Amino acid sequence: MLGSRYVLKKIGWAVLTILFVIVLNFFLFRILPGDPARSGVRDPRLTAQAVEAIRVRFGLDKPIINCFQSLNPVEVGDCFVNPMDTQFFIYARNLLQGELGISYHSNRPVADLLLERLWNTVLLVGMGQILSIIIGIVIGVIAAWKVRTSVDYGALIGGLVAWSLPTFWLGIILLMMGSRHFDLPIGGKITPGATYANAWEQVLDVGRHMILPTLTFTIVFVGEYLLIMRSTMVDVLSEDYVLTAKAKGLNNYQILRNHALRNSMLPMVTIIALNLGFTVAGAIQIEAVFSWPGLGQTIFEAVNRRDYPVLQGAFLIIAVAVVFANLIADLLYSYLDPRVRAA
Amino acid sequence: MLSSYADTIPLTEAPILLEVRDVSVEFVSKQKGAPAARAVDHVSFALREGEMLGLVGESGCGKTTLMLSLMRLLPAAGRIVTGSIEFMGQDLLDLTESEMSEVRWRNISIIFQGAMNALNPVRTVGDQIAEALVRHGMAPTGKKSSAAGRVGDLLEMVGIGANRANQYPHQYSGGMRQRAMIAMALACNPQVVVADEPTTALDVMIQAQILELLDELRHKLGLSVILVTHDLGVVAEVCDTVLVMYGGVTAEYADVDTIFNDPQHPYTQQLLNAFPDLTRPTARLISIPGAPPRLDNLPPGCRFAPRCPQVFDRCHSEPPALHRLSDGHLASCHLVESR
Repeated sequence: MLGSRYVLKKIGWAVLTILFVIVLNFFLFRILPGDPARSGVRDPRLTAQAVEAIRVRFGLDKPIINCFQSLNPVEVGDCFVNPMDTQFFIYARNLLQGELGISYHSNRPVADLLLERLWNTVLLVGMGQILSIIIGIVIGVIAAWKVRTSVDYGALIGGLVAWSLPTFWLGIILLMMGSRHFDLPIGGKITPGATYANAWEQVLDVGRHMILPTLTFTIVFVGEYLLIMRSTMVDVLSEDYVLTAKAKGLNNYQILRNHALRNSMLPMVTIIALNLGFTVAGAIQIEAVFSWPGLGQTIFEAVNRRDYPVLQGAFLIIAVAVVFANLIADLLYSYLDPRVRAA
Repeated sequence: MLSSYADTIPLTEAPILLEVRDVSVEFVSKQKGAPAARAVDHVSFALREGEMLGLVGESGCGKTTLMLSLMRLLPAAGRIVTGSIEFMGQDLLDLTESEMSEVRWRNISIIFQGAMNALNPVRTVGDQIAEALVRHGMAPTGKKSSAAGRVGDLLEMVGIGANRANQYPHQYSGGMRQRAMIAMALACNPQVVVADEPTTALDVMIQAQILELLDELRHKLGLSVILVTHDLGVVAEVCDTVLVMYGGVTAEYADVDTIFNDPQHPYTQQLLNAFPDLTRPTARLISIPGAPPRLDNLPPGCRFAPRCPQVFDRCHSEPPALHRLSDGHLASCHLVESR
């Protein structure tokens, strides 16, 4: 089926991309102005010795990399230091050990912090994506099948409206309506101070907290999926091979299932994969509105606090997610479309 | 117009398999209030067992529309508004959609122009042939895998190795794709095969091969074929009867010898002039100036009048009836009325 050469090539590219991101991620923050030691703890009473102590504690006294003591302002340094004693290679070595550094703000290991938050985001984003993909595809297919009827126009208008709603605004409106009329929680993942008699109660509580952010997420994304599915499907349904299928005596359902759906899924796979990667970051607005303790909210807070190790780690996770999602899309694409395999 | 069609049909011995009477097809306009465009207007023809009918005319003359009507595959805006299509005594227009789907491919199959797009690019050729076999209950166990033997035989029949059944259309050349399409069209042993410009977009050598293959298979399998084409050379070589269409109506209908030796309609004559004559290779080809009429803007009289070299006053005001010149020779032209 799939050529192992093709798979290896794709994986190789993914690994290279991640390596590039790791390097970029490191230097990007070092080129930015400002001393992390000072912006991490913004207290004017900080003595020079205390600042130096913080610098030593976080390894900021070491040269960035061979030949460069600092990148902003650029300060040329010794080229013959032990590479393992420079910030870049320490960072790289720590990364290999799964170590993302210590948060300036909370003093917790970044890896632990982010992992915990990542799962919350995956829970929310995953649920929202699954719902919006299913609903989007179903409505998109129906609209395409009933093209240029009132069903189609209704779906089209609804999709466009949903797509163009600002995420934060929709979130706030739903938050207001949901909490006032349906007694839904206004934020967070669990009811503060709640004690649970059993695991089921906890699941129910989390579920109640998820309703509004998931709904917001679904509405925001369903428009895009619906519109793309519809237009691809309309194109595919006008293809000659669909007419051939009908001429072969297949009924509408068979034509849809065996000929139209798989061909229409090709562009969808790309978009879904790209979205999956980006929504880890894209949930920032929704998580901020609903105080959902996910990766997006963490990034939002870390930016405010200039918590560079957390940002660096979060960016890395997002980059890996995007690259990984693209890899999956590539592999899935080549499974769905044999022409890609040949290329 | 004519009391009986049976005696208007070019004479051969074989029984009639498919008889199209007075079929008109209209397309509903997207704009509200605009009149429906009539793409095919009262066209009749008959196809006998083992016969090949050539359907000739320029692009936009309603040839493909007429063929799609036969299988009731018209796009949503198209409607068959008059006439009947009788296949082995059954009017296909009376069938329900699901009954019609049984007839499709099992009794009447179609080879579309441009096999490039007529095969699904993401499924193997063998799979797509097997699908037709499964649909019409011709796979031994009802599963696609059980049809593999038949699929292999079909591909071999059109000169493609059975081992290529597992390949995708993009791995085939243009000519092979059209062969595969022919194999697919023959999968369920249909009585009638419609070949709608089967050689469009193929180079001349491959065109000849495909047509030769089609002709050979028709004799071998006793098929009736309707060949839609622009190529009069092909028609002369392989067809038994010829229907010349112009602007959605029958211009001339006769057996192949009559059409080539005694064409009566000026359009047929012009078409023949526009075709190279091997006995006079230095003669100039005469093209027909202008283009077929737009369906939403048909001339009030004869549809060919604006381009006709022998046009006279009456042509512009009164559409000609379909006149019977002799047994099996029909032409719609005021010039033949007196004869």
